[in-house]
Amino acid sequence: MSRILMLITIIFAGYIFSIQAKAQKGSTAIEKTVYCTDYHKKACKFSKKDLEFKYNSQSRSALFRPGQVSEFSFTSFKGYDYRLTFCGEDVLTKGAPIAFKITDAKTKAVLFDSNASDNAKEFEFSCDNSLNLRVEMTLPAAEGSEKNTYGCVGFLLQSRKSLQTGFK
Amino acid sequence: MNLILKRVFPVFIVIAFHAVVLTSCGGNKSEEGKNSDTSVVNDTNISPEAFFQVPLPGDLFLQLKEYGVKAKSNLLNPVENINKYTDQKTKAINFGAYSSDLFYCSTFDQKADVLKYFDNMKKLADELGISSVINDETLKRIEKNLSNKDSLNKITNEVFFDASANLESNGQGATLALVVAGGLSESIYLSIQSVGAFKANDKSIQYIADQKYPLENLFQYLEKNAADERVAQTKNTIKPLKEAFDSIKEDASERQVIEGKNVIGGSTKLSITEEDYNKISAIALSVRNELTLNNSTSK
Repeated sequence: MSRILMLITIIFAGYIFSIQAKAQKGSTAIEKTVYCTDYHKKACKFSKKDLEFKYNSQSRSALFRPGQVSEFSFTSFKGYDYRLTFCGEDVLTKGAPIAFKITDAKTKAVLFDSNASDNAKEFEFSCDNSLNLRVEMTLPAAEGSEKNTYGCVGFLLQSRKSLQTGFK
Repeated sequence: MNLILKRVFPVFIVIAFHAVVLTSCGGNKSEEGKNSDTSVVNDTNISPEAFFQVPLPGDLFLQLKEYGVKAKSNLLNPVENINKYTDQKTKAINFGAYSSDLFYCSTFDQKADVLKYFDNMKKLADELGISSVINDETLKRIEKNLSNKDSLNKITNEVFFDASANLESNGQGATLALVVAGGLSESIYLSIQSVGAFKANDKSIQYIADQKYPLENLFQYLEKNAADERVAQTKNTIKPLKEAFDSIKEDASERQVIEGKNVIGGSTKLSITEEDYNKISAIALSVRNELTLNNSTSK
């Protein structure tokens, strides 16, 4: 009888602790979502420093799982230069680059593919005609229990008025 | 040993019961009426497949100011109208509209109105459950920086950004869609009224035509949240404005070639006529009046 009681106690204890762990993980997910809010401002940095480029309000961060694919659509305006970069927490990327592809939202033409550009982490361009761009981002995949992790990814967009060259 | 187990086991059961009950009482932060997902689990916090970004109103007004556009009086949504906003839909839309008015004030140095609009935004933020985005500290910063338009713009940016992040992380994507809709509609209306009559080959007119693109993204965002009845209604209200922008003729355009630079741009350029502009102006006014429950007339 005492052995049965002990067995029941151990099984029940394990069950209760697993509920607690799940609840805490749920709370952590909510905290992480809030934590991700400014992630792109704190963590994403463009490799070149240029004071003329300013933060663009279409930047954002969000919570993701490994291997997740997501799309961002933003507007680039004629007469502006843009820089964009992705960054992610190590728990998601494990040091691997975040792949991204830029397409014309209307024509679907691929304008840039980081996979075809030595896994570039960032991209800079001048816009000569306003348009909506779609950026498809793919996070490195994970295996086993790592599939259940999650972390922040930031999309930092900076912009400046294009420099005018030549005599007018 | 048997005695220990007989005494410990019942106590353990009581403790375990309380642990389960307290764990269940996590509550949820999503309060979007009938269409809200009330489960608070990992997956609802994980990001969706598509994001549609819309520039802040301040970006639009700043550009127009650089083109030489000046502010005009009596354009803003009257602060007294806040008393008309009695349901969550009009509160959310006009939180966005008032934020656009605030950006207008700070961009064009209309200091006298800044505090009134911040006050209205605070009241609406409280009623939308995001009171933390405008607290006493924020109001003190605003009062301290009334003469500094760059700082005011920065504070307004932060408030809008925090409000968006708050609504998103609380599972209130539909409410956020309404806020953005109110903000962009008010911005387009204010821009057109400030620019005034059509002028051919004018950069500010062309920039207004280019607002077709953020409007497209807004529409996609509303579409994504259209399961919410309030969003579906708002989408229908804004639809004529989108259709008016869509009817602007697009001319083929050649890509510029700049050595050493990546050049990206649309394969077509928007060619806005006076007729297009006047039509968009009239519809922007009508949409804005419907969303803000106003009776203003064009100038």
